[in-house]
Amino acid sequence: MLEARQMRITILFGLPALVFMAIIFLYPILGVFNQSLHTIDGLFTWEGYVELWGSRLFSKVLLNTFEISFEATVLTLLLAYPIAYYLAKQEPRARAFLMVLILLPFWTSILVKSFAFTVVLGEHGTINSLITLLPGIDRGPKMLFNRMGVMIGLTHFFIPFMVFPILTSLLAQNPDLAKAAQLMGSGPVRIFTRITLPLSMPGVMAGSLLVFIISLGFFITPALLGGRKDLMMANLVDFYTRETLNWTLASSISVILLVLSLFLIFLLSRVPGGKSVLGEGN
Amino acid sequence: MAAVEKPVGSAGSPAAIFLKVTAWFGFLFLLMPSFIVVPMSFGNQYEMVFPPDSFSTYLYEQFFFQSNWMDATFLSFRVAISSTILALVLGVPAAYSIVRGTYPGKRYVAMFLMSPILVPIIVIALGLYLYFASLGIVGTEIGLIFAHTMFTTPFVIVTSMAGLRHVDQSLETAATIMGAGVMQTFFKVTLPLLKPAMFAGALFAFLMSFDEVVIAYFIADTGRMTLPVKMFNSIQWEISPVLAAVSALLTVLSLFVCVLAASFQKKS
Amino acid sequence: MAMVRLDKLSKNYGDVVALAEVDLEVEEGEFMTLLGPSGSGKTTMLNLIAGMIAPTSGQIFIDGRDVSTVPPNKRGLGMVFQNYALMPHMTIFENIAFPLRVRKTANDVVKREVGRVLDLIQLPHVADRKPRELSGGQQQRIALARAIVYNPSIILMDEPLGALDKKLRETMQLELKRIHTELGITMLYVTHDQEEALTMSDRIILLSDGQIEQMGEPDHLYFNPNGLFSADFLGDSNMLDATVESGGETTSVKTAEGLALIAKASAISEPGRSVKVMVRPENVSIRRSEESFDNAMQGKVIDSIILGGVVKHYIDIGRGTAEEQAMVVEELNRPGRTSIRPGVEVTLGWNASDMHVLPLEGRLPDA
Repeated sequence: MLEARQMRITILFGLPALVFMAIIFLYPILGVFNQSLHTIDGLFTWEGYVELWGSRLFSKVLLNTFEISFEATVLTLLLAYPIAYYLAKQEPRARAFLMVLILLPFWTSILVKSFAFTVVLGEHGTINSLITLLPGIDRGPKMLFNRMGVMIGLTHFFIPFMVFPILTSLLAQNPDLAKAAQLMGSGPVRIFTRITLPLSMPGVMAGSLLVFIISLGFFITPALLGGRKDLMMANLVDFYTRETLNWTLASSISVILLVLSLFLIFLLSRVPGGKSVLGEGN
Repeated sequence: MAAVEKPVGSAGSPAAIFLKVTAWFGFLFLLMPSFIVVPMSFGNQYEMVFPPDSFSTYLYEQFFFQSNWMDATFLSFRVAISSTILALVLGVPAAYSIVRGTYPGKRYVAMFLMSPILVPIIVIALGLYLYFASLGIVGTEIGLIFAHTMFTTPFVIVTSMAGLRHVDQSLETAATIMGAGVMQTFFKVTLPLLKPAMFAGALFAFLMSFDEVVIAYFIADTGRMTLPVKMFNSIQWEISPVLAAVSALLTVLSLFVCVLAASFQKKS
Repeated sequence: MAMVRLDKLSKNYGDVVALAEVDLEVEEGEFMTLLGPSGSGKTTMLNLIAGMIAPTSGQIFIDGRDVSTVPPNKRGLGMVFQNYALMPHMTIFENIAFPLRVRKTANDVVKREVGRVLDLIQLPHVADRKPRELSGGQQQRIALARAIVYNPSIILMDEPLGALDKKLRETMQLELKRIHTELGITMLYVTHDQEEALTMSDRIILLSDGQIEQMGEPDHLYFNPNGLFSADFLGDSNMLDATVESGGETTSVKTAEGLALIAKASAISEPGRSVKVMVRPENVSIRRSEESFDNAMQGKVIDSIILGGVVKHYIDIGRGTAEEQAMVVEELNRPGRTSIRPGVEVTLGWNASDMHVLPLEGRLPDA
């Protein structure tokens, strides 16, 4: 009746987007699944997955991906938490201003960041130039085209992603808890370790999972700042697609990556604070 | 921990100092790229060092008048504008449908429309490449526009949904009772009030498309590269100092978008 | 002919009954108030009439036309909201003109009509301003103007004065009545404020938990409550537990403490039945000198509170000293009135015609 008519019209509003997404998103993704099970000529095959199972290259890259992602998450956390905590302690006006310092890098092109790191971390780059000024040192550490470069690049990219959930979690805490503890005799360190930190764990968990998930699928940073030993799954997909035109393998790796990500996202949605991160995370 | 008045004696403690130093190290680390590329871009064409030795606008001249960079820039610009407009046309009504609609399966509609966010971008990129290859539209501008629309629409939907929640529903009810149909209410009441949110959403969607590299890299053509793809190739294969000028301009673009969007936040 | 007719109208949400089956007629030009606490179903009834929700059963007739399946924008109603619902991005003129523009009215007619209603609400010079530049009371008048400019058959009002402060509310109540009288439009008014309902209405429908408790003119509801809810909701009441002794032209009862009282004639007259008897504070007097009343009760003064024009005395009649246990006596505050101090023993008196017999559960049949 009445509500039925209203219902019909509001569905119409969403229809164009639905149709578009079905064609340009859902269908291609299903296509990847499909391609992972077919050769280029269209014959059904499990070869893709079988080959990956036995492939030393893939095992190495898979391990790399997890290693790199894990380390990047930890490093990001080490820097992001103090930033978030510092922001949480500011007056709202100061905090709004300082947030710009987080938002600007967040919205800066990753290519710009990668280029900057190439200049700064290179053998004759800014940092090494400064280091070699010191007496007795004529070569600085290798920070580019290796694991360190990738770590620096990834951490730099991920810090804003980690800061937001942790900051939200910290701001949501009842300020009276710290006040009460202080009146009861606690020093600031104890207040932090016993009250603030534990209560911020949902934000930490959500942020860490989020960063880890994004990192798994990363492509640009390992490609530009990493070396041959720093290939991640996404780079392998690129390699099989462009270099060897082995679409089957490329698709198989993509499917594995997708399934892993979806599983972790499912975990994230179960973590307290995870659901809201999914809303604002990307 | 909403900003507390600092209790007596807390400011100078070693813990506080450590926190401040670490936090500011973090801020500077984050801002480093944005800061160094600008001075670098005024350097000369021979070395890429920071700080630069000399001052010249050579790199900018190279950028603006050397045709490949501008071609790429124009392509990125066209794609970003088109995909943003398309994303708005698709996304704003979809957001309305999700926030105001009452029909079974609404939750699933919302989840489906947001799902591109959950999929690693490399998988989306590969999927589009395979799909476009089968259709023969790899390397076309229209393919890129559609791809970027798909990429930015979820974002437009999220920002529009947030904006809609601030649009007083009783205004729409009042309009309905006074005789306006669903379309009339949407265009005369809802949309005008949604303008700030739509504008902010559009700005960021534009930036997202302009800076997007992975999808563009997969479905690009050597003859038709977007700016980020050209930058990617350049950094990977032969670093050109012009990159400094490009980076500086992109940084200014990001800054511009952030400031504009922030001023719109204040208005609403 | 009735302007609004509800025929066996009901609304359920699953097992929850928002509005139980209702039969109702509102006459043309009537000011009908839907009164009740939150959750009573008054807003549900209003939304059903407006068409914003669909009924579970029954029909709605407006001006003789069955509108049960007609969408809200085609029912020809006007509505005024508690938060005004004025379009912030339009001028006052455009706000009021909105329904006329929807109806594709010619520009010169629009101008004339908007001017007419602005004069009616006595705000002729604000046409070019934006809503946020006006005060709450002014905005509510503009909302009203907007609701009447296209001459709807009924105006629905959902607690329109709820957001205004007390003094402004009282002024606006009179304003609304004036406009109602001048235009003669049927008005359906929702409120939880019983004073407001008593002031403004031609008839009141009292609702509770989705049911109609009582319906009728304000005086009728006030002086002839049909149950505990009505008695308690409209005005103040003193309640006593009692048992019926005998009926007839007056009803004799005995309180739980054994005191014999006489109440007005009631449909409840079976001896031995447990009831509540009710007398309003303004009908109870502290007996001075040789006044005689049908009923008398001893008590001790707990406190007296001055509320401007009236004084409320709280009397301990042996049930305890908490506010709900005391007997409340209300009298006009006049200079030179002998003040009563706390702790003083007093005798309370009231007449049988002022005391009502009410059932412990349910309602009396309509008088």
